[in-house]
Amino acid sequence: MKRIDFFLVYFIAAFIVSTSFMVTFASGTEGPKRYFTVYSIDYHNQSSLRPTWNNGLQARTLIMHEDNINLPAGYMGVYPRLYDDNGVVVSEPLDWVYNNSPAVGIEAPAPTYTEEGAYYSHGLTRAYNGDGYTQHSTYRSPSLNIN
Amino acid sequence: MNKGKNTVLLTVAILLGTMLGYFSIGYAMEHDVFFQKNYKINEKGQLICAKTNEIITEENFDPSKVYRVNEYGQTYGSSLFAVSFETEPDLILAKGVDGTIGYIYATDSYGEVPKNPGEALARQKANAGQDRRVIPLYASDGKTIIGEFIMYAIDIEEITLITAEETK
Repeated sequence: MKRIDFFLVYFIAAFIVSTSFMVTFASGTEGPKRYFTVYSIDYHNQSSLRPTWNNGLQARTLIMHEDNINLPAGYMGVYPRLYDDNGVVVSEPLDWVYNNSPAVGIEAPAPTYTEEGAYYSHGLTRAYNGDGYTQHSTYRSPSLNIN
Repeated sequence: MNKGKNTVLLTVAILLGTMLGYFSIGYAMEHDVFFQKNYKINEKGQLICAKTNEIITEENFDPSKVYRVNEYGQTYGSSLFAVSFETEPDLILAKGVDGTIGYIYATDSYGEVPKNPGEALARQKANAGQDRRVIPLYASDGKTIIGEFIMYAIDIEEITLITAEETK
């Protein structure tokens, strides 16, 4: 009988420790890529969520040229946004972030958020079209929790 | 002898507990067990009506089903439900600085579109010294200010610039 109790106590302890570990150190998640063409240049954009060291979350948005050729400075811009489970925007950056030097792509985060809950990443991107910018939203990322 | 048996039991208990814990929490997080909602977002990032299982796309997107319209003809709701940039609402659901839930104007949030890369970079440079930007949080009428929404600057170190040289 005692042996069963002994077994149960350690089983439960290991279960709790492993679940806490999984929640705390859960890896990030990425939404699917959205492909589009602007000014005869092929791009994709993508949103992702990344856990931070202080048990928070960062929504990140990427825009990337499909060919491995640098595009001029200012051609690509990103605007990441973090949403809670009710679709409420909880974090977004002060302004758009553009590639300030020639690059194939740029990725930037929204400010880190640490309140408990389930969150999504869903950003916006801009690509220069010769006469301004064409804007696209990303697909949403899957949700991730802060515990 | 008993000590040996106890050690084996202890090892088995820890192994089983760890494995079950790992897989059960992984399953729960993957399948959104803790946060059931009246809408679903599938693995492709598509918005799905939970009642009909219909996939909402740019083609069949009906703003009246997703957003509400205020007395001034402005759409308001969550931009998480937008399926493209063009389908974002005029007033975006947002959480104010003191936890108040309200709406921010899309134009206040992400501003006017620059005309060219030079203008975009000049604006980026002008904002470089700021640590935050405060915009009004409105009621759904888009007129009554009920709070403030703050957008903070991000650490420049966290921006990833990908160059052709790096990816070769």
